[in-house]
Amino acid sequence: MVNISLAGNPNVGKTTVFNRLTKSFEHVGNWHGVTVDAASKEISFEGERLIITDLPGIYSLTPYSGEECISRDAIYTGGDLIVNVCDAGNLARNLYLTLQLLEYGANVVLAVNMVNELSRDTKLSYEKLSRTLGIKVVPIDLKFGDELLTEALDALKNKQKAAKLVYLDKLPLDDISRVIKDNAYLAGIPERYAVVKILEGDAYITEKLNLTERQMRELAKYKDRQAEVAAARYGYIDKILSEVFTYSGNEKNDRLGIDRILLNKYLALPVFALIIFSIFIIIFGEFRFGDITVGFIGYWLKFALSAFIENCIKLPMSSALTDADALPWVTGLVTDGIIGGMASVLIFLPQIVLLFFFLALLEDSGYISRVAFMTDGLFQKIGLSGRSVFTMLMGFGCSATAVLTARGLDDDMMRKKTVALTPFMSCSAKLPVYLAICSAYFAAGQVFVIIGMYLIGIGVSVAYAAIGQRISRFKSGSTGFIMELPPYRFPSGARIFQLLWHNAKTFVIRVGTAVFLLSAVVWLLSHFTFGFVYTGNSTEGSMLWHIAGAVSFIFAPLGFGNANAAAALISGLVAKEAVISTVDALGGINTVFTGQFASASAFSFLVFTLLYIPCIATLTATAKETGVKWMFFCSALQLFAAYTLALISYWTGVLFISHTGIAVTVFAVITVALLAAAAASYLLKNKEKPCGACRKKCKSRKSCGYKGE
Amino acid sequence: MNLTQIKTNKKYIITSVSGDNTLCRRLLDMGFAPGSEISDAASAPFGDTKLVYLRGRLIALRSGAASLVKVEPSRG
Repeated sequence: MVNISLAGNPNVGKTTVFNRLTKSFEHVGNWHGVTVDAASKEISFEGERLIITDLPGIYSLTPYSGEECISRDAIYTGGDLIVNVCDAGNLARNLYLTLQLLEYGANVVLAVNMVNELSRDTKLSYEKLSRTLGIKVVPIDLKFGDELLTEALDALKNKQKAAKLVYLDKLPLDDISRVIKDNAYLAGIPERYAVVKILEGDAYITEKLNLTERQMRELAKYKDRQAEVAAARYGYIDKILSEVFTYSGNEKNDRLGIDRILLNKYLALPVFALIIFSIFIIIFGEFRFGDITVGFIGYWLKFALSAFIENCIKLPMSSALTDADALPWVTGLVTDGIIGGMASVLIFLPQIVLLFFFLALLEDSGYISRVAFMTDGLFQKIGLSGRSVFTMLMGFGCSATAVLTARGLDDDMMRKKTVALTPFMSCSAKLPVYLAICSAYFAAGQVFVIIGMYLIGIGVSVAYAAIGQRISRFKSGSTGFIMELPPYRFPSGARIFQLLWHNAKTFVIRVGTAVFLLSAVVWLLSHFTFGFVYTGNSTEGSMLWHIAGAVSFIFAPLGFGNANAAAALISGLVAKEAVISTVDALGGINTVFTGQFASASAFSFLVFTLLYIPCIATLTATAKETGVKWMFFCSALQLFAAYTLALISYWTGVLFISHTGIAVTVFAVITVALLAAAAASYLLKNKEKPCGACRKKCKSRKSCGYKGE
Repeated sequence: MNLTQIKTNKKYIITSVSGDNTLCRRLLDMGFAPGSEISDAASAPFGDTKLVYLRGRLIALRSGAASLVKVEPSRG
């Protein structure tokens, strides 16, 4: 049995290599910090049992956040071999970690990834690089074969002779060596490595060395030499790279390319809004002109699938059951309960798969890192950072998996807040609810209501974050935001197919398990009394009617104070899709929202579904990441937002429907008042003066950052 | 001068990185080592986050971090 770890900088394709070696489907994306936990899998290769471990990305062996410590510990505690994955287009920064691995004395094989992305004018000599570093170097791309593992096994059998790291001679290593020699031996840390880490002020190694106070005093003068160490390493790297790379042709002049527009100070945010809006139109857009419906790919796929389910599954099944003279409750359970419930969710398969597809496209292309950059200023004002964007964007897919990605945030309060706010990002499981209710009540304006839901969710999270930043207990520390923007990459055809297939499969499995079970249970509970008597076509007197009826008064002020709505929201705690499958199993949307103000009730119900407590999976993940106390705190925030905003939307809706004139007037007055207040506060705010000290003309003392030469 | 004060279309050399320990180490690990060439690429729409070129890559950073990086105009 051999342990091989994949280590390297963030976003160099470690997980892609892992997936290819082990035939897995771990989440990948073109941004930093996708992987937050180590993943291992056993494979067999040429008769050997290999355990391959994928580690979170690190820049150095002196880490900052939790997930980076996982990688450091894995490298320190062993593994027989480290495959150091590098990005061919970013070797300088990648080799910085490689040098540290060699300083530590690890057995390393360098896998130079994405060699296909090197421009044609660039030649990279792998033999020279291998000779200089004294380790095996294997060039790979997306379609690499056995060569990586063959070389890795060879490196295990025949010990490699790492080159002498000459740059270390520039540092005062011997002086420190004398002091800590015995400590390093006792701690089992390679002596030269321990010395370098002392110069870098590495707290972890210093603690391991167990130094006496006298030794500490002797070493005091070597503190704060990290810049010197970094300069020595980078100087060596620049020298190596000038030897192994040969360029022909001219250096590109316009290095920004399309980013000149996408990252333009004024165009960046409008272009981002336009991209998101287009995605929504493609997925959900359907516009009715008289009898003709114009829709995009999402609409037509849904249309075809719903016709298929109705004609090829539901109708034959129900006539078969009628022909077989099945008991009426069995027919009801199967056709209305199970098939009806599952179908109500399943018909949205194309739209949900499309949503995941576009999310993956944003991630894979590298655009999402640009979004993090362009929104960082806004996020900074509310105590978050551009890094939170990744987690929140993932929240549009699935909150439960998204909250895990918050681990990459180094400020603890910021991490907890990001976890708290992620469930407000409307997750994909809520889509069937919006789509089903919208097509019943807001047919033509469907796409706008859906966009509205997303905006309400974002608005609530921004409001909470802004309030949190004003309360000292919830204020985030000001962490430096330093993030690399990856180059744009476009996913291959195979990757697109894999994404669509994987997401469709995951969704169908969810419908086949959670939604299937809930539909059956809800139908049975709603068609049998406590004495197990079948209630026939009506749900009146059933178990669910009594239970949900008892709590439904809570929702009366929101416009949906009936047993069916309450039951739907309760089953939504298991999985959000179940909100709509429950409504369907209980007799359809029309039984939930009734009367003159049905559409106001429907809208308020949508708002409540968007904001109230997320599913159990998300609650569990929140508790695991931030503690049970914080989870309950989040739930309280969610319930408060859900109830208040649903209340406001219902009564606003009612006012609009009954007294349109008054409503419009009230809104006009409120809007004008708000605008006036904003203008007044802007005018009254003390305008900042230039600092007057710096040579360039800055706008304010605060933003200048000038601290004297 | 420091990194917050650099002008577009000019090249600079990093002379030193000092200040807050953790932030410094992050900067050094990301390649902001003394002796490296650096230039301005873009500024974010709001706030003081800026984008710089370093060893052929784009790196975004806030002024809090950028002000720790001292630079001088490149003579090359």
